[in-house]
Amino acid sequence: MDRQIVCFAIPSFEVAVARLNDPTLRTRPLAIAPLNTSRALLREVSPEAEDEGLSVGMSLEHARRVCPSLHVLSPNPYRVHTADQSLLSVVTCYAPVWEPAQSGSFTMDVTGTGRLFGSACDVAAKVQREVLERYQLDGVAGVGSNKLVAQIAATLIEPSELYDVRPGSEQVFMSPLSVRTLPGLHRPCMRKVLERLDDLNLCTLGEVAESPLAALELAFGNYAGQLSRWAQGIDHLPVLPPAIQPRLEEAVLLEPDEIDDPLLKGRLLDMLQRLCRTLRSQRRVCGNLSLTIRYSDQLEVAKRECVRPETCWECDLSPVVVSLFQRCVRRRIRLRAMTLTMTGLTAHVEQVPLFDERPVDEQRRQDRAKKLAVALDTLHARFGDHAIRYGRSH
Amino acid sequence: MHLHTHSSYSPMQGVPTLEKLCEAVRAQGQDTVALTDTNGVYGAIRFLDVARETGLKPILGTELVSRSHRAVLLAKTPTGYANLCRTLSARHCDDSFDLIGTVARHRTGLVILSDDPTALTVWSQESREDLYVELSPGSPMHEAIMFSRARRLPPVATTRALFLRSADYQVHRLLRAIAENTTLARLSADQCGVSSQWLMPEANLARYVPNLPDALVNTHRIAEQCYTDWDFKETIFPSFRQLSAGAAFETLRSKTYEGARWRYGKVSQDVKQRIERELTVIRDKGYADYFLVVDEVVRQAPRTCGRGSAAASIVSYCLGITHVDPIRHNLMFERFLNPGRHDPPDIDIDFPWDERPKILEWVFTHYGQRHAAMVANQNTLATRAALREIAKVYGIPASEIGKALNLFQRRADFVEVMPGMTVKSWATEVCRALGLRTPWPEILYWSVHLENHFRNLGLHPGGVVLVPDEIRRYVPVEISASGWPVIQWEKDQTEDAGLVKIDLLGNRSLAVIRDALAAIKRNTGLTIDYATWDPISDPATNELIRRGDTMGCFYVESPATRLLLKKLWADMPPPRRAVADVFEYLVIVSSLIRPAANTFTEEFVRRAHGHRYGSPHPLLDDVLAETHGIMVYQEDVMKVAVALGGFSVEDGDQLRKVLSKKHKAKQLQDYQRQFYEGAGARGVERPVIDAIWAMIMSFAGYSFCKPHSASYAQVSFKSAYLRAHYPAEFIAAVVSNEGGYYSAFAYLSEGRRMGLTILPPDINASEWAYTGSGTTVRIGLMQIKSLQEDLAKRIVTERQTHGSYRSLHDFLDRVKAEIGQAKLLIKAGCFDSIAGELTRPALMWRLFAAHATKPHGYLPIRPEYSFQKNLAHELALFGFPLGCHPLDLFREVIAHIPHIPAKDLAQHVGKDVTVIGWLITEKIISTKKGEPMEFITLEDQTGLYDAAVFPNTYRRYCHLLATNQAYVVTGLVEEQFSVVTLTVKELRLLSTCGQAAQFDPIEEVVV
Repeated sequence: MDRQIVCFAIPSFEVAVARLNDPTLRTRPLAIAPLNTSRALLREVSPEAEDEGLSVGMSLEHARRVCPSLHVLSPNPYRVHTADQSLLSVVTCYAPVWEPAQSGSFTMDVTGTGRLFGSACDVAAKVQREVLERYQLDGVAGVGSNKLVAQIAATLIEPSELYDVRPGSEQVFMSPLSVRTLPGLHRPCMRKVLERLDDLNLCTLGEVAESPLAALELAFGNYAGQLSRWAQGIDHLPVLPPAIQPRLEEAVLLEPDEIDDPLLKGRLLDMLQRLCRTLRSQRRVCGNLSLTIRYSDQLEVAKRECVRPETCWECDLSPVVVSLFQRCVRRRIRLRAMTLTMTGLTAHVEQVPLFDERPVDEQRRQDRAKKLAVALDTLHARFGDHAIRYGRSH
Repeated sequence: MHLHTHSSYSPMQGVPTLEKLCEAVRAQGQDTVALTDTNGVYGAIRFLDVARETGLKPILGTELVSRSHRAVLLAKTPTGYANLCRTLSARHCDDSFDLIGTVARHRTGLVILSDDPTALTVWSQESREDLYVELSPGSPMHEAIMFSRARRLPPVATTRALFLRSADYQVHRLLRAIAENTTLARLSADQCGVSSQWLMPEANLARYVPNLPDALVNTHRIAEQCYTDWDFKETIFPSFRQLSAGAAFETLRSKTYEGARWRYGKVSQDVKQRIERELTVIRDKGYADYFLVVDEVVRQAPRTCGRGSAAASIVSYCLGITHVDPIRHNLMFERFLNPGRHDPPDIDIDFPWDERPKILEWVFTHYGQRHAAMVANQNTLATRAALREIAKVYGIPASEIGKALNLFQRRADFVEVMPGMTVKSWATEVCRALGLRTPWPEILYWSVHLENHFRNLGLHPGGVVLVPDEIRRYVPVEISASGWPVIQWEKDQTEDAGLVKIDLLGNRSLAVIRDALAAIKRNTGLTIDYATWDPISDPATNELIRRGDTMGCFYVESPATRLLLKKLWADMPPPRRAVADVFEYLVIVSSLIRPAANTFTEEFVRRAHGHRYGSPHPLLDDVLAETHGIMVYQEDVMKVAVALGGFSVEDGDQLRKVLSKKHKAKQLQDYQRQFYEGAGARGVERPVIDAIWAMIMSFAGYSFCKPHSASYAQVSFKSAYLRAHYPAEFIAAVVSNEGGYYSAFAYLSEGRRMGLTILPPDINASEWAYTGSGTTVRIGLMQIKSLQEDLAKRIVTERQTHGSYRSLHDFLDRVKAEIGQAKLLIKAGCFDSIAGELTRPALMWRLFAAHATKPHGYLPIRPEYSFQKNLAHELALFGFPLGCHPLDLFREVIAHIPHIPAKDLAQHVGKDVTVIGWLITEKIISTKKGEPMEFITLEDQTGLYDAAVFPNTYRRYCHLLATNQAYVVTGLVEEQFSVVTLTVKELRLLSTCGQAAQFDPIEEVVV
């Protein structure tokens, strides 16, 4: 059976939500950017602001010079979360399987629901209409036979519009698009792929699709297969519900950029603590830990380490985090952001070893650390993250 | 008594300057101080002066540190100093340096302080004399005391002062972090000193050794024993083949007469008299060996240029050391050497820059490293370097540092220092004004503390010291990064210590001339003999110089010189023009262009055109007649000081010399007083004295003597001759040798204006360097950024040996280039001529296929890159667009801007106009009031023009100015002496479709 995937999204979601709350903002250039930092970048811009020459990623300082009438709002995570939940309440009515892409954007797998709700195109239209009626949020919807096509389709249209890519026409749909449309190509690790596409003068996905796979392999090696498939609109990745998302991630944006190692390690261990808490609440353990850092000059470095046995305790993972930090931070440049990612997540097994070979002191130390972690979880749940934190003794 | 102190000459460790250290010691009531910088005596000669001026007796010493041992060595006698130098040389030069063994071998005349038990044990077994156990706060003092008691070695208390106050510890840590290439947080304890290493007074120090009064008494005892009457006045000349003084002089005499016959054919009475006069002085001053050594060095290269005052000597001219005839050009030998001159003048020789390493190698092979070493450059943290290094410690990325430094350079002067402002508040205010955020205020604040701190030893551009016996007994020697032995002193201390240096310098224009002459021979078969070639009387060359068309010509290509030449000749009345000697005026012009003499240039032009002028004082009428009453040459300082200030010739010469030195404030003050008193006694009025002293001060830092300028003007004439008659060969040689005043792009643009065609690089036609022939210049492979030189040379050799490349496949087969390097060649269009039907992307695919491990089938032929993409490749690979002028990229935008072409500027004198311009070069200067302004040179497709951005306008637009950017310039066209310039009123960065140009500035030009 052909898969039927719908991508529903509210363009500039935070802007849209802000305008719902304050209708006076509807006609003026509006942008969302953190206001507590001096070097903030625009996270979202309204169409009016775009018309004035602003774009996402532009520095707030520059944006204000370009567009003096710009109104800037600080991100409001609570309001965004509430709005997200509202959208979800509509999405879950129609989709048995759904995956959040980012705030205000969901990918739905509606395969096999034709008899209940009609075709995927109808489902997309219904979701669009319902969201508009109930929440006055004007969304876009892309429909296709896979996630890649549906998501790309949704990015090509204006609010209220729907783009249905009929099964079999994926390649025709993808052909005129720029190679840069493909997800992930903007990542630093993909720089070489982009460079080679440029070397070979392969500018559109159609040009990639037309090229023989064997020839592509000469330039792109193992990545050629996926590149060629994507260029033809083929994507076998399933829609994954959040409960079985294979990763947990914590990111921190440093303001100002920081180079003080003890302080950075402190922030990392805070992040680890939050991740471990989530793991414990999901009764899962982690088998891989990776750290990605971004320097002030935007260079990214990522390192990964296996954790055996899998664990959900800070006392086991802290040394791994410190080691990752030392492997990542080799340059004498300030850090702008750090992202700690847990993968290889599996269910927690209650069975402990019958004959623990660890020294007794070590067992006691770890038991104490685990009890402390559980106690802290309770305190954090009740009084918030900042109620109590780890310190460092000299 | 302080026996262990560090100054800022302890590289990246010690904080205080010599002046501050000595003042602090004196303020503590001490009368003696020992300077013990780490592993060196980098500031020894300056220390002697400073200490004596402060009223302190100086002890020379060092803290010798190796990986596992340390000791403080103090020179008790002159022999001890020689041993100190030998030990330090071994520390820096011997890979297998053993501190304990070396000190044991050379300890005669040295006092040794150490807390290193192993070393003390070994040394005490040999002799206990002059051996002390060093006790210092912050070091393991208890162990040292126990050791001292156990071995019955006398203790001595020191502070090991790295800084004056404990608050300066942070500065020390910052220095260490810079030196260790790390951050403050990552700086480990063993990488820096401790906070107690400040210059604590004796009373404080006594508290650390309450039960050991001897430890303090011993400091006084040692200080009394150490030698403090240091005198480095004796001149140490090199020796020529170990000849006796008489034999050396006779050899010089015979060589001089032999050379005179070569130079003049027949030796006239005038020539003979001049030779004899010079030889007498040379003999009396013991200079014969020195001349013979220089003569021997110069004979190793066919093309040289003697620079400096040595060009005034006929002996130099006859020996071939210099090439300008001192009789023909009226050059005074006394400027070089006179009986009253006490300090040794040195002879400076220029060699083609790429031949200099071989010359140095010959010197060291011939004279041996025992007798020869290079003079050092003591690299210090200048303002920009201090800011840059501190910013790195704070983790700021390079691009942000570059931007901030640019802002500081252009705009920091605009923040006035208000009364009562602290350095911290000033730094905060400057950063606020420039929009620089945290941590820049902190960085700027610390940079003030670290400025001028000695960082490391570099090599002087060419100074070599030769001594008759052993160089290591006079000064410690190190090994430079390039492998040459280098002494620890820079040129001023070297000279003050009596060591005579020979400057063997690299000169790019000599290489330009060499390469152009070789190309001419290759292309036309014509041989021009460098030694006998005399372009001074060539009409085309004279005319070219009169027009100021001297871009690319040695020494006279800067915008200021070109403008001055134009002003001088364009409006010169015909009767004067008919008799005016272009060479003589070129000598004057090249000396007149110096930073502090801008105000005199226009007056000079007026006078040269025949305008009447009043001399500043009748006493100077004769003295400055040759230069129309304006002080032009260094020797004019001496002449004016003698004529007006009543100086002796020696004092006048000293004043001239002091002006060019770095640390001159004190001496200059004395000479100023002497000048004012002398002139006053001659009845000269105060305002006149002020004006003349101001003219004298314009020689500070950067000025020339007439022989030097005459010698250089001759090379300028040779360059100009080549430019006039062989433009393609000349431009190719100029760009190939790099390092001129302008970027490669600017020279190629000039080539296009001269009617040359610039051809792209080609795998079958390009050499490594640019090649010129007829009316074409072929871009060399050297212009392709990131292309490895050895690969490029391999490509050329293979082509010359086995014939042209037939295809990419053939090339890859024969040269085995790496994929990344081959990509550069394809993108640069090197294979276009042999690609046949294949486009550059198609060639790329075949390149990937050639490097793949498995066989491949059909390979697509993708269409050619778009114009925009090709342009991006050109910018990335060459640094400039090849097929068009950079302003062509803005054609659509320019079409909507009313403007005039640069070639029509002269038709709009006195009017406001708008022109488009690509910024070629810029020069920031300060006005008399200290306000920054800038002279810029721009070009459009029709010509080059110069513009001035005065302070008020500069303040508004300085943030927009950078080389290799396009501008819309509006300003007033002004004409002076028939030369048209633009005074900028408004400036706008030209952009495409409202956006700033999307590429980085194309080449960095050193201004």
